[in-house]
Amino acid sequence: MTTAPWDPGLQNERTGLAWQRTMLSGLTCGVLVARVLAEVSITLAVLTGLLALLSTAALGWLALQRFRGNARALHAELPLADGRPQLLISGLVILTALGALVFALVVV
Amino acid sequence: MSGSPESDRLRPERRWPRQVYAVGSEPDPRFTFANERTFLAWIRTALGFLAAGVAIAAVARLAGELGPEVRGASIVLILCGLVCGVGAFGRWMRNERAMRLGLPLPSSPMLLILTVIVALVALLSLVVVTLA
Repeated sequence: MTTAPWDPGLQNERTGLAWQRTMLSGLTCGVLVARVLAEVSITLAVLTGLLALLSTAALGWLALQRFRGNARALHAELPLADGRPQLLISGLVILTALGALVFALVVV
Repeated sequence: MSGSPESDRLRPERRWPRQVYAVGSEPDPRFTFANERTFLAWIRTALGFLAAGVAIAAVARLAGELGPEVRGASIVLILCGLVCGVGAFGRWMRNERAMRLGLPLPSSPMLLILTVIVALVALLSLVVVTLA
């Protein structure tokens, strides 16, 4: 019989779910920007849509790896995952914002 | 386990950014997770700003050409999203660094600035909608 749960508060799971929420918001926002960019340029719209889909898939894979790695790290008392995906996410938000700016500036 | 890619990835000197992980000691994992969730919440806020900025321009276009006030509000909201997205990373980094060093969490004017801008845009929308 164990004395206490090894992750009281389910921190890792809550953080994993926060990743999922963020990915869904990102996909929604990316697809929205892709749709409105179709008014400006079809090529740009298709590229934006593809980027939204592919980056969400990539982030989903990353989030799963991160969740598993952190679960192992918590058991073994090793350091948690580092800050590279955070930079990637911020970069994707910047790209989405640029796409949105193109629409807001160019559209009549 | 030593020598496997997994333990290699977790080697302390491989963790990035160095200005965070090169200093201090490992904080309570709960705080690291909480900082990560706060970062993600800021990212969702940024995405919300972007969606709002795009949406008001797209909806206004249904009624004809885009007026300068709607275009202005749209651009301001999108720029807020940009600031949130960049600021989220900076905040995450400074918070993690402070926690490793046992320092108080840094403050930031981002919340106040964004609140003021949202209030101004709401006020502008109210005036535009009322006069329409």
